Amino acid sequence: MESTSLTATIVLFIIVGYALYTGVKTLKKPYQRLVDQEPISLYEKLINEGIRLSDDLVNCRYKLPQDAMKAYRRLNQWDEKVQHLTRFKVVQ
Amino acid sequence: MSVVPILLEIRDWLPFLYSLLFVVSIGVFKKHTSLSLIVVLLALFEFISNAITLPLLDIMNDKSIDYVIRLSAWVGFWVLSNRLIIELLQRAHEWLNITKGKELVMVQGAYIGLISLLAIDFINQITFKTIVIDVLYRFGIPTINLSIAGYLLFAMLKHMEFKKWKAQA
Repeated sequence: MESTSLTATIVLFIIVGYALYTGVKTLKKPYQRLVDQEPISLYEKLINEGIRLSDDLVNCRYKLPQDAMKAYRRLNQWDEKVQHLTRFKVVQ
Repeated sequence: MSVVPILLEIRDWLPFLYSLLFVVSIGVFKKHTSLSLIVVLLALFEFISNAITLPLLDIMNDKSIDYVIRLSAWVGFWVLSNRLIIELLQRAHEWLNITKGKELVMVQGAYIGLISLLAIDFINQITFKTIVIDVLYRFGIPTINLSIAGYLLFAMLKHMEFKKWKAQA
């Protein structure tokens, strides 16, 4: 075999070895989706609070009536707050 | 040996199948999934490789250059481009922040299989010249390509079930 052919063969073997080695490395590399940690908006905060308060009220089914009354009052306060904020277009 | 041209003929239609899969995928899932990303990149890669195969073959058929050099240039080109698509698929998932799933691992594995097949055929062509490995190579390349497409089609049909809507508080 000529020297140029030999060189081409050796270069090709290096390329194949490199491609296989790094290819398997890439194959084994996992990637998990990153959840962005940006602060949630006021709207989302209000919605989450409302869901939590209404859950509290529903969970008062087997509790004392006073607890249910408290939960009901807190939900009403939240409702007033939302009404107030939407009137002044603070919440987008 | 009349099966190989048929396989190659079917393989030429793969980019169109991939494009269709992409449209169906974004239509059904309403967002970019790992599958739609893989499918669109593979479609682009297949379109490009179909376009450059024939001009490249014309250059490689230049008889004035030594056969081994031409062969190693040909094999080297395809090995590097297959390596490139493996890397590109991985990077695209990182850039678009999409979880790497089983589909991507399978596709990357299939491309590593293609690289190995090219290397085995190269060794065969310069040393043993066995007909068995030659036939394996001729069948193997289109078969692997078609199995990637079949697997992606299967994976999409498997994910296309209706899921119950859940509130996310």
